[in-house]
Amino acid sequence: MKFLGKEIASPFVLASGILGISASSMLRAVRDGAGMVTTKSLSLTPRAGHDSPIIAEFDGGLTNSVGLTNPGIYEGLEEVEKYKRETDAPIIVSIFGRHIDDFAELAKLVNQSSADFIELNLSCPNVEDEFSRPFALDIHKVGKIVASVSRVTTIPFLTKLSPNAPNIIDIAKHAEEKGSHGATLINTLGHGMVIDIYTAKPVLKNHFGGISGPAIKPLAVKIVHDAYKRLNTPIIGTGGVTTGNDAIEMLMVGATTVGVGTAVYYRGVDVFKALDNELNAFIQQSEFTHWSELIGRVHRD
Amino acid sequence: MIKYPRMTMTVVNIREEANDIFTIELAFVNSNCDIKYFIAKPGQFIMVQVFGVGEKPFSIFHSVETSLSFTFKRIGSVTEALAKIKPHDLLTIRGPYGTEYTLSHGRNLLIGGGYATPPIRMLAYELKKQGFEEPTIINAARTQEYLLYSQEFNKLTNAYHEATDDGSRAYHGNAVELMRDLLTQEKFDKIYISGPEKMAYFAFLEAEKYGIPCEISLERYMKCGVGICGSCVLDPTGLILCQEGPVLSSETLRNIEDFGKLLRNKTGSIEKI
Repeated sequence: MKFLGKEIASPFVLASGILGISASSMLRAVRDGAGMVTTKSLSLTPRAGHDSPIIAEFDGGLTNSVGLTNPGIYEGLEEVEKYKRETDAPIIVSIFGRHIDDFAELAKLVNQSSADFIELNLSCPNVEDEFSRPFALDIHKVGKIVASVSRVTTIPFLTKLSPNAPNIIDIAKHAEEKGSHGATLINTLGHGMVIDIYTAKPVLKNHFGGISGPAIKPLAVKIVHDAYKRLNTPIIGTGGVTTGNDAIEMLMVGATTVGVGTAVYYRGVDVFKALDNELNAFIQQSEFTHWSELIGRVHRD
Repeated sequence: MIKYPRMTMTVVNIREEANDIFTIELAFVNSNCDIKYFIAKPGQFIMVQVFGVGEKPFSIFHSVETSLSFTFKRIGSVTEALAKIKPHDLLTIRGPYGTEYTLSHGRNLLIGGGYATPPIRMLAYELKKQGFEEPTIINAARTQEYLLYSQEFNKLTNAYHEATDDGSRAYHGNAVELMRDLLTQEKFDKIYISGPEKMAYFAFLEAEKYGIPCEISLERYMKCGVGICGSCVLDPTGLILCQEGPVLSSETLRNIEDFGKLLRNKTGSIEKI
């Protein structure tokens, strides 16, 4: 099975923000069964991110406010080189900028590296106070960024969008028209809040954060379902996938590959092996011979 | 289903062990907790939150059904706030997280350095409680003032040794120098270490020369404590210290090139230790 021209051994993708600082942890995800990995979002300069607590659990998942911790694009790309020396499994470099022009500058640097793909993180909800509204909420800004990146890169790139935009499907289509080679749907939802009732205070140091995990899965499934009908490019379906059955749902509505993030919290880094096993068990008991046959199944008569 | 419940606990007391080093005892209050209580094992850690200030990992000093204690050094904003805490105040914790020391029979050498000694103290009590042989203990610090729990260690074993960097008490030198002396005189089957990483690293190298297996508690910048943020990952194996540590065996440590040399800072950037 190929994803944007690169061979992948499994549909599971380590989502951005989870364990993606070091080559060693991303290689570990690959050894454990991930087909592709995504780095933590890299910026032009290093960022410490928010202070802990950066995660607060609730019954349906996590709220997180990591605040885009990263060592900066230059050190981040050194990890990419370390990673590519060890494996052929594709690596997606996630980038984010403070200003519209930053994305093209970052993409140029990634383009000179051994990275396989770029992901534009236009939708992190956790730095709104610092950077104002995420670009992903504004269709024109998304178009501008995508066009600027398209002009400077030769490697394919994906656009990661926010479920907070009511017109997310229109935005995804617009990004595609401006040159995006695929969409990562969806980033975390909200802001959400978790309150400690004994102290009457928010748990997160930053008070609120993006919602991930099983609670947002039906939303992600619906968005991928709708996007599949409009887009001609592949989708990394991301949002609350925790089990093989969740992944099957995501593939059936039209995801080409499946992002895995919060499931690492629930099931450890070995989750990729477990997901591969659960998916294969389903395939063996069904009329299908390969997971790629599941893609977009619900759209057939 | 909540995987890692948070527990709001009441402060029973706070005491200053030495200059800038404090121990806080917390009580489980059933009505305030998602779970009734837990008993932590030697080597494990908890995440402690001071609301409005932040959250940090601390190794556990003492743990029984009704209460839990941890020791810390006043070093940053969270520990500054913790040092000002009063009895009856509330603190929220998560945990216990991570691996523990595995108890084994034979001649054990325990080495604790500075304010990283609490897990060694807890281990010494556990060995005694479970009827293991009396261990040899090395307690080392910069000056005599920072030699924590001397009286307790003295009661726990007849083979208790102290070292101070400035020679203000007992052996004049560091933990590794004292360990080197002991190894020329005695045989040990296993060595347990908790202390600054440089000390732990050189103690490990010494133990390797003699072929003695170690268990060492490591400390890294930990943001989430639950294996997802990646701050504490060790190269080149990708070991996640908050989940698969903090206590690591010699077998594991041999494969970790970062050990004693490099760590990741707040941004994830690599720094020399």
